Amino acid sequence: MTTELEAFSYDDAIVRKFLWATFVWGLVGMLVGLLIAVLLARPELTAGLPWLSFGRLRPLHTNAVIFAFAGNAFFTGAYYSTQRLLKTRMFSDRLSNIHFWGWQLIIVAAALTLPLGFTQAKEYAELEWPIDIAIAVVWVIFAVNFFGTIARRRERHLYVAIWFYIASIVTVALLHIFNNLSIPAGPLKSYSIYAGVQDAFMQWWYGHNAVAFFLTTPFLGLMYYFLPKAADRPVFSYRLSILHFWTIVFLYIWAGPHHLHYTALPEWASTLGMLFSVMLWMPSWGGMINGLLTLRGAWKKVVEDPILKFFVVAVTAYGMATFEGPMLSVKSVNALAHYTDWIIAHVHTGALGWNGFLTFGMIYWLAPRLFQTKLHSIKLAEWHFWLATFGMILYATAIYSAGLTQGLMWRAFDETGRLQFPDFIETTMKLMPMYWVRAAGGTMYLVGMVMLGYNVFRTWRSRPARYDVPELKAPALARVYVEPAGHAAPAPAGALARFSRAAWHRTWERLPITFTVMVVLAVVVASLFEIIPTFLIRSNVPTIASVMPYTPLELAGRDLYIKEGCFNCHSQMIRPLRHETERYGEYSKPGEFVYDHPYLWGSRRIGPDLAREGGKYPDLWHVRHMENPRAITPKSIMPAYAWMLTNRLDFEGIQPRVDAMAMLGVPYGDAVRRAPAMAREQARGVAASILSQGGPKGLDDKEIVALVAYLQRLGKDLHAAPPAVAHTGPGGN
Amino acid sequence: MRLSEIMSHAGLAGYAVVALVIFVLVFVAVAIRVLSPSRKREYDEAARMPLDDEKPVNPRKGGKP
Repeated sequence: MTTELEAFSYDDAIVRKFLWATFVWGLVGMLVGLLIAVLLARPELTAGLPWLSFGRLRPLHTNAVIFAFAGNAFFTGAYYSTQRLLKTRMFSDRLSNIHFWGWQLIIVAAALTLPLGFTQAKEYAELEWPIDIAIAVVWVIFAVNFFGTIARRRERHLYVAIWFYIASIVTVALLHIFNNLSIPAGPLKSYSIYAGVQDAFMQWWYGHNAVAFFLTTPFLGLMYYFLPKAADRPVFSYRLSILHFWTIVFLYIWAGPHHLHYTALPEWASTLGMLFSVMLWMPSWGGMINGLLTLRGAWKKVVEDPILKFFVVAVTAYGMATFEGPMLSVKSVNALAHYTDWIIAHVHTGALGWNGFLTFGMIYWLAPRLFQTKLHSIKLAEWHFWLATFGMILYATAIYSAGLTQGLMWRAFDETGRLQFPDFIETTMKLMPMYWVRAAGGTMYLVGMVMLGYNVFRTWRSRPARYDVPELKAPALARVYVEPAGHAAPAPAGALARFSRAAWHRTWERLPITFTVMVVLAVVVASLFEIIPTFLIRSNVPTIASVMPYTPLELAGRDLYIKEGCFNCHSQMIRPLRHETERYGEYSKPGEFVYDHPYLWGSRRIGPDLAREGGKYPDLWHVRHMENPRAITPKSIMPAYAWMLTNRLDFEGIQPRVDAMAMLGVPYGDAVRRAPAMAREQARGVAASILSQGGPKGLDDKEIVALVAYLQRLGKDLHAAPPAVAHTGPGGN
Repeated sequence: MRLSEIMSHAGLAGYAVVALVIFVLVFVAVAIRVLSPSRKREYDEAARMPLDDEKPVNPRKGGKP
């Protein structure tokens, strides 16, 4: 064979950059996590600072650990393994660096805007529209760089890890763009183009698949590369890994609606979500078994090597979390677990165990190779492993018990048929000891992270003066695929044999574009079948004549509710379960949310549901409660929002918001011309009512009146008299 | 007539079940292909790919490198 050899080298500088970023942001994200864990038990620690309150920091924690920590970890591993699996340097060093700095800038922007209250109020998609655009741009740059690398590869077959990367890159782009479609109402304010049920559906199509394609498939790719590397043996079954890939691509995308059981979502949609979630159990466990069996005959190594220990726990945690996921999607289990800490425990099994441990193992494996020296201390890594493992177990035990406890208390009836714990706060107080154990577990995990940083830092310190960049040689990839001589099969006996020999699939594998198109097709088709009916079949969202848009003042109040992150602790969705209707009132109907851009159903009840809050308490009650919740409910863990009584409401800023809403089809009528005046008028009324109840004077231009107006409106429209002039609802939007 | 009205009358709810069947069938086809014994050698080679950082395991023109 007379193939000419080409010389090339790998770009490890970019991998080193991403590795440091992974550590730094991981530390920040976990620190914020610990802070908000403590705030749940000691809310007064915020010292009255708005940007320290739970509602604003919780999205910072989730975004930091998902997109900054796990994201950078994925990039670290992907940049390292892609070059080696494809036997080529990255397509463009410049694009690699733009990707790196762009991504870090986005994280900094998130870390600044979220505590300041700029949020879209959609979980894991909180970042406002300019940052969303930046994310899309940087992601496309990453994709160009990645696919360019594939095009220049010198290896015929694309290893399965690359498939997982491809699926992650294209699907995340799709999810991100469609879930974040919104109409800007200011430089850092926008409204989702979807409303109510449809917005919820989009959000959890996104939310669930973000877990799938940002936290699962990228890390499976890493697992299929780094686990064989660390164990120094090939993966147990390559077949199983391919099956694993296709099942995830075919099934995962369908599972989103299980986040919305018993909500106002159509029955068939959530049943479908449940069915697919249960089917997901198979590939997930296939993957776990594949990972664990790769270590067959190498268990002795596991005893000695902390890296393999990290991988074993990571793969096991993946198995646990993916067993639990389908279980939680079964409606009857979900009825108990939804809105409780059980879900928090579930995601932390995944995040701490799967993503965290896989990342740690990968970093310990990479550090000596990237810094071209020995790891500073294997013993310290061993300590990190045990500390993090026990921290995680403490965390999980405490929070699983907390979830179960609260879920059971919410639904408990006494022998007279009344709620056994009608006071919500009783169920909260029960959790306090568990919250402290959680904080202890989280601290251990965080200390482990610091140990990792120290270990990597010391390893870096003993690096050589100049990194050695070995020059490699390999022939270029031929344009046309030639069946290897050794592979020449006997003449095909029939169509099935030809099919199963599957030259067609090999053709895909050589043409990443075609392969990518197939993945996109699978994802898009599944998504369309899942989403279209909710959007276009009117009977799925019946119109309720008495449901009217929020007044300009209420809209401003709703935006304050969003800004302070109230939805992080309060749901607005009463499920048709007896204990819920008993506790909160009539269950929520799909038609009640047609003007809710974005929807605010929430996903966790740290405080009670607010869907029927309107009219439950006098205006003054809300003022006092926001000023200091503990003045009303002595043991409340809600942060105080005293600044709302002094901050002036931006009346003029209401007009662009009303206009944006009107653009989305909300029938605002007269308000598109005189929103501020209408808001001022209503504000005077609310302030007067507060004053007449014995409250403070001079609130009529303060934020609190807008919030009170909004809260007093919640859930009232259902039984309000229909408007005299019948208006046509926006229907399907 | 708005698109949503047309779609409302199209009786689309059952389409999800059709899609479900299609997806299951495609998956079965993929599974048959992957499990077919004739690909064992190719897969064994592919599985070794992460272990060699220097030379292509599955090179461009047949035969071992």
